[in-house]
Amino acid sequence: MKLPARYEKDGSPFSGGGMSTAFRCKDKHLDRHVLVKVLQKGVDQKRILDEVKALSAIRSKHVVQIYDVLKDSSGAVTALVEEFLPGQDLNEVIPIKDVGTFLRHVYAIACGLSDIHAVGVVHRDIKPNNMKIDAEGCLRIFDFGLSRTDGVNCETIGTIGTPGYIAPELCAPSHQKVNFTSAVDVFAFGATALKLIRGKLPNELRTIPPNLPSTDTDFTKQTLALPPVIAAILNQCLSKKPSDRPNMETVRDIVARHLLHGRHKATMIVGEKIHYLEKIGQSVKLSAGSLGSVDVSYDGYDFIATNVVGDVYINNMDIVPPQHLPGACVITLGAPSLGFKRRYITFDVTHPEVVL
Amino acid sequence: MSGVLHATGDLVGGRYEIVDYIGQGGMQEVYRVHDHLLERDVVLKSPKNPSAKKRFNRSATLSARVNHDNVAKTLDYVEEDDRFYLVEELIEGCDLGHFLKNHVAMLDPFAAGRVMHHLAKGLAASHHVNVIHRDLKPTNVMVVGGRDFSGFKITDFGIAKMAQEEIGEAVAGDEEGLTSSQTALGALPYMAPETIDDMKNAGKPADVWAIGALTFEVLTGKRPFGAGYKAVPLIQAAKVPPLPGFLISNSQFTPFTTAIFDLIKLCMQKDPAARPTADQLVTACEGLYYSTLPREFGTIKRFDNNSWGFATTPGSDVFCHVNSVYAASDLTVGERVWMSTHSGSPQRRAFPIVKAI
Repeated sequence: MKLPARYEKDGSPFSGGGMSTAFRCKDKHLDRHVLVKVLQKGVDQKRILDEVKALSAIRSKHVVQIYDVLKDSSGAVTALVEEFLPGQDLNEVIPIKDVGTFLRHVYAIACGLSDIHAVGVVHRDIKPNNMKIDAEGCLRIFDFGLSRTDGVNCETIGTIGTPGYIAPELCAPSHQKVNFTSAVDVFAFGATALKLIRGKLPNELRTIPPNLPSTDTDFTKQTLALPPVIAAILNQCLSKKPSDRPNMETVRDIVARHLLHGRHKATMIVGEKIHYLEKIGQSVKLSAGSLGSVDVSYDGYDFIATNVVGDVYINNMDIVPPQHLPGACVITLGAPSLGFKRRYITFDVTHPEVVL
Repeated sequence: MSGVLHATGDLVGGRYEIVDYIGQGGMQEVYRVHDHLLERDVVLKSPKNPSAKKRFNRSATLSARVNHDNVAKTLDYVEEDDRFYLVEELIEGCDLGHFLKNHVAMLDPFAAGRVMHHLAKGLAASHHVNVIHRDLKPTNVMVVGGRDFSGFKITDFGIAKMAQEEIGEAVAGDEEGLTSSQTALGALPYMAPETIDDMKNAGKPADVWAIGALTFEVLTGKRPFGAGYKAVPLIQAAKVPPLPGFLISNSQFTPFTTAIFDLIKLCMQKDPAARPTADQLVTACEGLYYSTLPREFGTIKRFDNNSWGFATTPGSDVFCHVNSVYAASDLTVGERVWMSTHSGSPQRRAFPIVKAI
């Protein structure tokens, strides 16, 4: 195919996924590299329009940007122009040996998939080969060649996808129609997370249908020791029944919460004095003579009030210990009838912001 | 208000249909357009002065090199009928200058720190590919979500390359010369001392200075050296004015305000080589502790004993105590506030609170 003068081939072709051949090209208008994915002859136009629609609808820093669509004289789409991503293929960084790096990657994928699902798109081919870490260290998801709109055209005949990442509900006899939802991406996300840890997917996942549950696919039994709450939610992603899998927003929020584990700081102001509480397991007793007292401890996620003696209120609410404190509150010691004799302590929680 | 170059319905590049005129930057007209090829809305920018073609193209290719979430994405460049256009991602929101002028003039220190952190990230990404902005100022920062204040993106990279000569001449000239150039007047309060001497000195450290000056403004509600011609000698002297007492009198804010102010002072050192790099600034910002809870607007409906009251919001009322207010020691019935809220009884409790416009 002859490219428009704007795009100049720069490098040898490689597979662009989804029945296309990709070239790195120079966009002469903006003097930058772009990826031109030329479709193989006979590719269904409807399928390619699905891909274009998916890519232009999604707004996410974790999804590749589409710039242009090339068409032939009859108006049929012949190629897609996307941003060219220099940087590392996700396959080059696995297996991942430390929990922090693993969590940051899993968080980025979960953010990207939440954004994708938020506009009703199902990717259908989530795997490390379709992810890259860009020059600024941001993980990006690409190749929407199999994508569909959730609830609109989510049925397929036969099993499509990449072995190891195919959800059980997609494994039907070759002539049978199958309906699916975004839960197929959640399953593939779970498999991707497993691949990040193990470097290779276990055979139990690679069979069609996958042989689940199994010891090798159990996130609590991997060499990388994961926090229990993370292992539990990832195990749920590999549930056999689609309805047992969490949605990606839930996964994202659980991982986000864990990324801040042990990184909170509570600033307390008692009179004119400032005190801090920031070590996991540390606890302080806040008291004012006979008015009352309360212990506040930090478990790495939350600040928890226990051992209430006398009259103690949080933002004017009664305490029901063990009670999680809000992100900012005033702790009042003493009954309302005491008026100006009551004591007030401000308690504000902050943390570093995780910006990927 | 409508643009000079185009009317609604015009088609540019056989692909972009003018939907709405957004306004004009110093040197360009900005439109919201619909991209018929990809079926989405984007932003189209075109210089007012068509003879600036070469520099406009250069600025477009500069922006196109930067690829980061805290920088507005460059999508396309079109030349047609002696005119030329840059196509950028559409950011639903408003620019920071508009936000400061119409919503909140002085942010609470936690929000100010968040602005600094995100801008430093975007700037670091552009410096990695050797792109210098040269004209960082509130109107060149887009606030994602506008009133929701959910994210920040630097825009108009390299547009300043176009404006460089105009700014340089105006600032080097007399008062009359400066005030006659809107572009130079807008740029001046954020210009580093070395760029006042000669715009050709605008390097990476000048961008870092600008982030310092911008953060000073959102933290204090004032530009560090004021505006207009009188600012010139003050910028050259590079003596950052101390924080006014009322910004550091409330111990619930003071530690964080001081931490941000220390970073501002590091960025605004006279010697460009002494300033942190954008990467070092990012690292410093990653060590800042703030809350990332969303902010909302409310209106004070009751204020008793000079100490507490309630604000109405589109949701339920919010309890507001004067001690939770940044940079003020009172609240007045009828005034607008910007705040985060936390569970409480009988109403949610606000912290932090700043006065809104």
